Amino acid sequence: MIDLLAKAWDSWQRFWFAKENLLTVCVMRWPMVGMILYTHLIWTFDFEAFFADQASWQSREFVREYQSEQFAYSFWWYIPSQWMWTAHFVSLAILSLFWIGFATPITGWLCFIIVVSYANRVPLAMYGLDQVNGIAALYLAIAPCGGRLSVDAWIRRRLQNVNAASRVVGRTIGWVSKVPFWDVCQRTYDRPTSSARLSMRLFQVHLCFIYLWGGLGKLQGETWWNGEAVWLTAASLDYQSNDLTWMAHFPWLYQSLSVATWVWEISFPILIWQPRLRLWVLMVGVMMHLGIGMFLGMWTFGLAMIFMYLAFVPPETYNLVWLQIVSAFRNISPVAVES
Amino acid sequence: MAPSLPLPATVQPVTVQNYSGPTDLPSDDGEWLSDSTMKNWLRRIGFGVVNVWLVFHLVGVFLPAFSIPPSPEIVRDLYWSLRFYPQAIYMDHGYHFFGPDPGDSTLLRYVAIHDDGRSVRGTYPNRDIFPRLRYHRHFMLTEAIPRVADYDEGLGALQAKGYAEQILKATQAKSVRLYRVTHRITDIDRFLAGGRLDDPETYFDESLGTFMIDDQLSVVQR
Repeated sequence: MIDLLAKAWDSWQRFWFAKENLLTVCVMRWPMVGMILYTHLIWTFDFEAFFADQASWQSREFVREYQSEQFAYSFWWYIPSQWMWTAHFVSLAILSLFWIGFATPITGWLCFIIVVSYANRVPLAMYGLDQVNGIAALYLAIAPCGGRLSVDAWIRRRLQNVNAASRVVGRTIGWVSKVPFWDVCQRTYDRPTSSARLSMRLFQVHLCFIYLWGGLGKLQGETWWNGEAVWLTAASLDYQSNDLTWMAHFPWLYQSLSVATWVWEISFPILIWQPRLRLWVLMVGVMMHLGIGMFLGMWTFGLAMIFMYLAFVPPETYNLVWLQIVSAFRNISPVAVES
Repeated sequence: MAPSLPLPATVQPVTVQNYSGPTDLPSDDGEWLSDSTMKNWLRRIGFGVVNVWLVFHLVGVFLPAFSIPPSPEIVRDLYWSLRFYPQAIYMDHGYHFFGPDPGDSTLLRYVAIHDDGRSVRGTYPNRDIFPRLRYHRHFMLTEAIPRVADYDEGLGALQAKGYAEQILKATQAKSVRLYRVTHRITDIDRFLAGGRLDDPETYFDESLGTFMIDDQLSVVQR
């Protein structure tokens, strides 16, 4: 019994905390934080209509009442009206810095606070995209996602070179190193860490939760069983961005798609852990989300979900792809220059 | 002169530059506890805390979806006790996308009346809005109307007032009439018989009231 427990504990530790190359989370930072930045940038068009205290879609009075029994926090409640635009642009600046990978141990957590604060200020305007943004913000904040492919990594490399080359610059860097946050920023590693593994696993397991509940939720309805659900989704004019009503003439198509959707969703948490099936499972997911983007106009949500799939791509694959790109670029560039 | 023995690779000679103070600290019982032992203990405690948090986190993000009715009462009770965590980190979600069944849409129709009697009609969400994300933001606002109003009538009234305030501000009108519009999905038989997705019979209006700006420049329901 003790042996069994010890084995289980060991498996648990290896699953969650074995040291992992941080390339996966570093790659994920670019599209996922890019999406977060885009989402918040779009608020600029309707900022006052949604975020003003008075005469906005969701007044302060309404939201406070709506969230009266919730543990929902937002920094917007503490920002005076005349500073709201400033706060918005500062938030965008912080998200941009996290996106390019500057001071990631700090900007990562600030990004999480920003995502949660915006979401809790305008709760009725939120949907799946914002849920994925929240997941990405928390799990990337945990991860050393600025260790590579980031400004942090670039600065670290430059400083190491400069430090050796010049004593004067070295002294300047010594002074800069005393700036409070700098030391923290330099703790972004480029070697395997447990936190990279933890973050990657959280993305993977959370994705399993999402699909499991997505599938089980559908089974509570009648139309996902009888196969009409995909037709109903296609015929929902207010979601539709491209016509899918031609499907009405192919009942076998919408019925099989309805059943395949929940079967795939419920089986995802099991099949995704089978290495031989993983690629196929993810490809079905990519097609489903691209379809949602193309026909229901939810490109942002579809892409955000697909970006989460990057957590299932091992770092070696990214390395391989990167090497192929570099070698291809080197082979092609002389020709490109000549032409 | 006797040759000096090389130090093992792991042992660095202590110099003025790399001396970082005493490596031992006194423990509570007066014994000297080595720095590495203390760090080891702190690491173990930290690791334990991370494991406890991890389990709590997984339970915390699993429960909200599980607690959506129909669900066991014990799960709903447990969710209610632990809801502070998923709510605080914005992971209090059900993930029942298009479940249990794809349903009717809710839109917001308005008639804004200006001082000179001129009226402006419109519907939210507006399909012409760009980029598409803005359309979905407005669509979520209107989709929330039945969810809020059916849960709490008073809150629904406050919500409608907020929508009216925003439309009055955007149109610079004196008063506005709001309608909650339920758009039924055309079923397959109706469609195959020649029905259209935007047939007028598929739209059902319900008045949310008339709102106007009073003498104190605040919006009131008439």
